[in-house]
Amino acid sequence: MTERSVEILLVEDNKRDADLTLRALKKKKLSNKVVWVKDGEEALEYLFAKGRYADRSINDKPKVVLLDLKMPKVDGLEVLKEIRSNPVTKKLPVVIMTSSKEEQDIVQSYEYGVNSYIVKPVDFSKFMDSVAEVGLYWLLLNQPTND
Amino acid sequence: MLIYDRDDLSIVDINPSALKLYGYTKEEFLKLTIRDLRPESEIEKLEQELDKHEKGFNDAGIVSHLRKDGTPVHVRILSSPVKNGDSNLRLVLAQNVTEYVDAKERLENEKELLTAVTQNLPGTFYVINQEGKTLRWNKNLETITGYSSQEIAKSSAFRYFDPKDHPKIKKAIAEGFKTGKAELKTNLITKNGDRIPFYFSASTSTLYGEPYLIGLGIDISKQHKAQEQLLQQKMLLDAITQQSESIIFVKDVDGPYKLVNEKFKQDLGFTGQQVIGKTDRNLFEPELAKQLIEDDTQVLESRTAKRFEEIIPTVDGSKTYYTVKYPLLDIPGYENSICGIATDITELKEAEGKLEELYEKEKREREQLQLINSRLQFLSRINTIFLEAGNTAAETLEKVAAVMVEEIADLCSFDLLIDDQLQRVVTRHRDKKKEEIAQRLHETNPDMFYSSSFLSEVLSSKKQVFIPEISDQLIDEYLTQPELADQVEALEIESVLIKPLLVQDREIGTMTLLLSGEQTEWVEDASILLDELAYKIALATDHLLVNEELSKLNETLEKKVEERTEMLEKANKELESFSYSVSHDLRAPLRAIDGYSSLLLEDYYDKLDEDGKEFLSILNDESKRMGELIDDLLSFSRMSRLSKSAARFSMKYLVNECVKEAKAVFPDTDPVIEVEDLPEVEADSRLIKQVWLNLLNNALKYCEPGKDPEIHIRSEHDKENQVYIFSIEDKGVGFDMKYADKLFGVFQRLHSDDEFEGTGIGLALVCRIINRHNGKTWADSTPGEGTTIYFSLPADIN
Repeated sequence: MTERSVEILLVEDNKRDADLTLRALKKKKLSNKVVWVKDGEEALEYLFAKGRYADRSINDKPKVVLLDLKMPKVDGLEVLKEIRSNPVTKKLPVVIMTSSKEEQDIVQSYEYGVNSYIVKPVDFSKFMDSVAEVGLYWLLLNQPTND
Repeated sequence: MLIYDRDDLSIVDINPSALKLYGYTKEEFLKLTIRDLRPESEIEKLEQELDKHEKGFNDAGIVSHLRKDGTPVHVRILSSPVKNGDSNLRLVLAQNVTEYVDAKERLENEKELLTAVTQNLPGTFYVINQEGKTLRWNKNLETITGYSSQEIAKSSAFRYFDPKDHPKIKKAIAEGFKTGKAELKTNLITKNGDRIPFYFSASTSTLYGEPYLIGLGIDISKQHKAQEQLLQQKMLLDAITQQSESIIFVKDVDGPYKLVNEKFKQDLGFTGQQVIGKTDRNLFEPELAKQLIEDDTQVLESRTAKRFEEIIPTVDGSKTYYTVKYPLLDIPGYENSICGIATDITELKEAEGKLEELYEKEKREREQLQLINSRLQFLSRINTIFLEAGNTAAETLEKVAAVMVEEIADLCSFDLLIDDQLQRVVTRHRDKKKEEIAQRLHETNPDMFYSSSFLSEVLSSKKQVFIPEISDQLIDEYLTQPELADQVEALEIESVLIKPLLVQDREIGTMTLLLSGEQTEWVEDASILLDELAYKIALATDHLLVNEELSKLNETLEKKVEERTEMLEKANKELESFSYSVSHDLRAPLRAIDGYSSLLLEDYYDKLDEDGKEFLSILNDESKRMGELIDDLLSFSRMSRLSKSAARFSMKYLVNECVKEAKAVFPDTDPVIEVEDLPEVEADSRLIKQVWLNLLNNALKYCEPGKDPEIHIRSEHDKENQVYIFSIEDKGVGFDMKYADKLFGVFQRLHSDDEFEGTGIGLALVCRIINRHNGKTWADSTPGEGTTIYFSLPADIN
């Protein structure tokens, strides 16, 4: 197991949500290696080491991607699709974190191979609990495949 | 006398009478031999004579000698040998007997002739004396009588006759001897006993002083037979003609009757005298006589038998005779009479007449039947067209017109009143070319008598127009463009019938028929049928037109509905995406408000005074509440988008599940929830679960404060409407029924938040779900006593 430079990639266009997520992670002491990108496009550049992140290595993968669905330019589902269609990132854990409780969003996310789907609660304490659960599970408890 | 030498037959001497007899001189004679005296043919005979008579006197009989001139001379030769020395001489005395010989020859010839005559006479030849003895007869007598000549010679001539006839014969014989002539017809009886009728004739002759009867008898049996036959034939003819049931007559070629039978006289009431020798002109009316004579002339000219039907006045009135007339020819083959056989066929004629009448009647009936049949078929063909589904009025009339021109008219056209204007819908002619002409005429010559304006007049008069004969004048009158006259003529219109098509006095259109020949009669004859037909066509057309109008309206309506639906769907979609983004985007700022106020409370708790802390917690509560509102609103709007999947499930099981879940929401109460037996239903169980959860939630929530809720769930089967009605009854606070209509509205609340918390979505959602299942929702309530909410779901057809 190589030492990763990044453990959590947070893809979120809403800076308040992003801030609250980061704060929540921080309160749960999980914010060591979190990178926040502001939309799907940036997320793809980051993951596949292109454009603004061309100097990165594609093999330097995060432990988990926290992905918002509704984003400008490239939305969350497209990002998920790209991740799953590339052999390198195919097995990367992706957790959708969204405000949408729409069934079609949920169903489609699972069809594209999401690992978990979290609806962001309005209640901050509940929100914090959710984030903490996700972080704990994917960063600490989950044994990633050795690829 | 002459002497010749027996040895060399030379004549030695001769006397003068001999020289005279033979015509030679003595010198000539002495150079001859006796051979030279005989004709060549008798030389042989001479040699025989010479050999026979060598001695004594010899009579050599009569021999033929030749004179010097070659003529024969019959001489009687007497010869005797004469001795003179050695010479063997003969003395010959030759007596000239030539005359005697000739006479004898003549007699022989006569006799032979007589014999030949008598023997060859066609009858019997006989010579009898006064005693009746037959002295001479010919062979025929023997042949016919069968007696031999000896028998004839011995017996009397009476032997050949019947004793009864003897007196008659004796009398005739006596008469013959007395007058010199006799004749008699009587039967000859042969030896065999056959009787042969004979005719005898005789005349007297005297031979050797004795009188004889020389006669001839002729067999007249043949004539006798012929006469008898004639008689018999006459009797036969009489029998036939007189007994005949037909009239038989013979007329001379010039007209007079020669023979008529009994029937003729009986039927026509004439005596023989009145008829024989008279002509038809004498017997009948001039006209009839003329006709009869004409008939006769025909027969004579054609020389063959002809048949006529003649009506002749009889004693029993006028009668019809079937008469065969034919010419009778005489022996050389010329017509000399006309024979007629007329048979009374009056009864036959009457029978024939009756038969004819019967046949005519039968024929008329058959024709009538055929007519009825053809009309029925015709009507049924038209009816069939009306029964065909899916045709427009124009298509139907097109088909009707096709049948009309096939069955009853040359041309059939229909005009319909569309937008108050008669419009030609169909023009059909038997003949395609004429159809074009008719069509063209209708378009180009609006003044034609079956033009729209004319038809409009007919239609508004509501009475049919029938012109049985269309004259040229009439055409001229209506034809405003004379150059079209040829085309009108080409149509060969004889008559026209225009029928208004009316439904209960309402004008639909017109039917025009152009007719010719028998069609006109037919149409006149079938006016009731045509009235009926016109009515039917009007009815059917009207019906179809109304239908067409309706379906047009329907189409517009459907289109409008489609448009509306599309608009609605679009609006709905917009609303959905609106509510989606609202729910999504509204939550983010709320989360921020809640998040940062929470962080403020957590991280700056010490720096805030009590008011600040309370304000922040209010901010927290309100943002959460708004989150709930948004969630409820979202689930409500999702309702319309969720696809409904129906399956059978047990309602009782589902309700029990829901009761458990609902109780968990209110852990502080100890409700009494009774669930009766509930049927199986076919519905979307997820949605129905939402219904029960909401209803149970309400029932538990709206209970009297401090009281444990009592809830009763039951169902009943409304068989009439084929629905199950489910109900949930609580003993809660209830509400005033005057607000019942607000109960199921979105965000409508009948209680304040101070009393009971809630977003006002629950019942609206229930109502919406039940609606989507084709059910109904309603409520019954009394304030302070409780509320019953009902909803219905379709019951199984089973």
